[in-house]
Amino acid sequence: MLAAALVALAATVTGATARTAADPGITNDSILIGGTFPLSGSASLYGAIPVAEKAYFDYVNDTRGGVNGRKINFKYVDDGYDASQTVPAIRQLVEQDKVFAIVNALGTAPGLAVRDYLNERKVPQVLLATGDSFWGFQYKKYPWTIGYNPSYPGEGTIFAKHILSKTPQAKVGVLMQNDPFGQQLLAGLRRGFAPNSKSRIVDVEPVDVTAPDVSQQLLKLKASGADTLIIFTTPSPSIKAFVTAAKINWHPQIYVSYVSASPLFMGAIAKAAGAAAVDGTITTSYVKDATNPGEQNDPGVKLFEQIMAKYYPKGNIADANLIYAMSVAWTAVNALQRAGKTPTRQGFMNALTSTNTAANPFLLKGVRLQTSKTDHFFIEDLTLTKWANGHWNAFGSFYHHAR
Amino acid sequence: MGLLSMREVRLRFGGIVALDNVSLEVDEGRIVGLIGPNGAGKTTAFNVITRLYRPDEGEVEFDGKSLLRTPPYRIVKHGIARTFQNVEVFPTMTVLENVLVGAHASSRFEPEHRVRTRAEETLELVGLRALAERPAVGLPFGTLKRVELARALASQPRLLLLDEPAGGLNHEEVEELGGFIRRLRDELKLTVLLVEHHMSLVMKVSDWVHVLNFGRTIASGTPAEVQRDPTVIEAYLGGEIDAPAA
Amino acid sequence: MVLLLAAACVALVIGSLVSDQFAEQTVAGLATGGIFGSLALALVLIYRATEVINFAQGQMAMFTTYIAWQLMQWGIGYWGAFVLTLGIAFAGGVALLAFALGAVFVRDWTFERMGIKQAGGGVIAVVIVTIGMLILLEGAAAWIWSPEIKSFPSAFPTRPIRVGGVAFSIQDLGTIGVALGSVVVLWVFFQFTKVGLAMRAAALRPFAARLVGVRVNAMLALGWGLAAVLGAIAGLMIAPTIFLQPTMMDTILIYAFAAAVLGGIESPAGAVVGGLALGVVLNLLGTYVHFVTSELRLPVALGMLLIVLLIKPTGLFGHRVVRKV
Repeated sequence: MLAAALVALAATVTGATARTAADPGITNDSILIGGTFPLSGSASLYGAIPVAEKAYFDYVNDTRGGVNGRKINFKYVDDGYDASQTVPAIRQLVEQDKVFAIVNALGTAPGLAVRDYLNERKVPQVLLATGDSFWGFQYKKYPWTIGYNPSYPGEGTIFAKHILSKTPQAKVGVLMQNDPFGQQLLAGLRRGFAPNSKSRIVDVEPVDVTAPDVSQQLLKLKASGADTLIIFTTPSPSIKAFVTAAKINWHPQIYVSYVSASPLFMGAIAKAAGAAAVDGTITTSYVKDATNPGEQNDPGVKLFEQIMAKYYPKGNIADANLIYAMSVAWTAVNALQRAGKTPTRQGFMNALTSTNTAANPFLLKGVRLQTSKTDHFFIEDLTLTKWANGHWNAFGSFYHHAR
Repeated sequence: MGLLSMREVRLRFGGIVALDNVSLEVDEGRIVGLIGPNGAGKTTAFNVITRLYRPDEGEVEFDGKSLLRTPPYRIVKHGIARTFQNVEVFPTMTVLENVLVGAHASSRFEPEHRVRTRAEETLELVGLRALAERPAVGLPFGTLKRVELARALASQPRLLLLDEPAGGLNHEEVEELGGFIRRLRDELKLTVLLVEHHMSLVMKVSDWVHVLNFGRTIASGTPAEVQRDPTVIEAYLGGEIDAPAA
Repeated sequence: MVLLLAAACVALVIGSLVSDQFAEQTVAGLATGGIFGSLALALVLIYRATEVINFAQGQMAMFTTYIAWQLMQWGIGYWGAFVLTLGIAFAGGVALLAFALGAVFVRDWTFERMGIKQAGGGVIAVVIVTIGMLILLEGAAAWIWSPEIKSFPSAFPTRPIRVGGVAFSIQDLGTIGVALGSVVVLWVFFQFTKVGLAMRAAALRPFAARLVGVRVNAMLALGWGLAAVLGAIAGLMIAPTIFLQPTMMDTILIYAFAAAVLGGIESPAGAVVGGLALGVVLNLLGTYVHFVTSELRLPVALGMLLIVLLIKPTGLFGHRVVRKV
């Protein structure tokens, strides 16, 4: 009995030593990565993102045999956009499933809730689906963490710069989601208007992400005399803001954060409240738009549509989140390829923090993914784009170093 | 064969025998008193007749037809109406609305204004016409008893089950009630089964009296016979509460 | 109470004449309040019928709105889909009650089989079933129709109308009209029809009602069906502004709870007045009282509720009814 136990123990020990050659999640023919996403609950419209990422990984597995002969397995779990659910979900991924890295996990609060844990264990927490600027700034304390999305303050600053160059006398009203997301966008806007931000911004109306409606805020913004409306909210309140502005017969120049500017939403608003409700709206962009007739022959868009048709036929091409998701998956694959023949977590981090490429087929031409040991901002190139004729139309040159 | 007949009805609740082999006949046009000390099974018998309880054994027939397969809400269609010991009026409804609910029970093809007139006439009969639009909640207990009685009458029953109609009434009102019950029988041709603690009332108005104790029939006869029955006297003396007022 | 309300109405009218923004905020508040009120009315109907707080009310409304959307996708016109949806909602409400009662029955039966004696708990059990339904319906909607936001057409034109210098949304005015219309229709139904009277009787004293010929279970089912219809109406009215999403009704339901309690949980008129009052007060506070920022809206609403309940524990329109056990 004892002997048997000793034999079993010995087997485990040798097994363990044999495995130390590779980091967790890496076998001879596979790589396991994981992520948490809101598949249910208030933010569940982002639930399609991991499905599109998996579609891209499957495409890479089928056409190229994965990365260096290892197929990529992507395990995504639901956290309902609720940090208290993220913690056990991430622990499960790290400790039970033994994932190699956490990739593109979605949301600021969920990400913050597990940042210490993942850094302590030296598990890469990378390409996060959130645009808070601190992901980029706090790299010294959290070397295992790196974001992906353009930073929110950066977008706010770009809006201010554009207003100052085109309509310097504009009276700006802001609908701001009352949380760090909205506050960062507003801070960026103020930075862009500095030192005259007090006189440029005539009214800021905060709104709760769960507010049943935004009519009170919109009526007050209208009454403030604003002729320019900046919408710094997530999709659900943003849609309400567009529809409500039309309902109360207010037609300011609208700027909306890229977070809420999916062609899917814009089209839906146009359908419900008329094209006038959305036409002329300005946002920033960095991903290609499959709904734009001008980009139909773009090889990146074609590849996107081809992968969608084969691996995710139920997905909606008009959902900008999906092409975004593939751009993330592309970036992850790119880094894995450069992480060594047998990738290690450290190697993966090194690859991610030494990215320098403009070849991501799903990003707009002109967007360069550039990072370094001291630059943890992935996407800093943004262009302005205007909604007309039922799709986004990029205009002007790129803004760089948006952070 | 009476209008209502219970035959060898047994009903147990867990280990307690609530009705033990009770047989009871109520002939058409009669006023029958059902008496007994507290817990004798009187209200239980009412609940069996109105199908709120299902007996374990025995038969309950009304007008020659078994009631045991009739759901409670159909009982009134057969022509049985009842009142409750603790009054079960609809509190937030007006007095008239309470009676209207009863009137609707027998209004299959009757136009609504006729039903309303009938309900108002019933209120007149019990002397509550003036209170028709008052909400029931807040009215004195005695008045509520009359509201409930009117609601029962408005369903135009053949058999009226009265559960302690004299509860809470003063001496004069009890006298009046006795006369009223007889009038119902004589003028509306109603048959009445009456549960009452007020012994003088029961003995005065009843044509026949049925006595229960511990769920069992201990006597059955004319008021005079029952009053002389030694088992009845013993049952009431043995009971701790509610000695007969007679 | 009536005086107080009349005074409030006069104050609103005067304010509206003085300030355009006040008028616009009031009308918009009434429209949102109308939605709260319709859903509150549905809660009240179910509470009156079965003494159950139906936590699934918002999700029922959401689900039926999705059904309307689906019908329109299949090519049925707006009003055809509207009517069909109300019919389906009614059947769904009845089915939900049957399901809840069935679940309780099965539980009791199983416990009996297992030899576990336990007393009643019927209402609590039904409440728990409604919470389960909430989760189930939300999941089902996301699964059937995807969690993607969908636009929803309006029964009313989206253009505004001008009265004086003020632009009112026709959609808002329509929503207010529908909310008030439903309470009037319900009031007439409960007050002047045979079935309405029977429903009230069944809710108040089920045993007595049964014995005067009221089919109590049918009346309870009817109550749940009507509540589902009201919820569907609320969903159809709000969807053009907030769009379709499985979670669209989540916070609205909380405000509806507040409205229902504010009005007196047993009073249909109170529910609608409570909803309208909540909508207007929140808009005016947000506009004119600067410390009431958006994150304070819900706390302020609940604070109002608390104050009303301290002064009048039965709500604005409630009566004290002593119930026997």
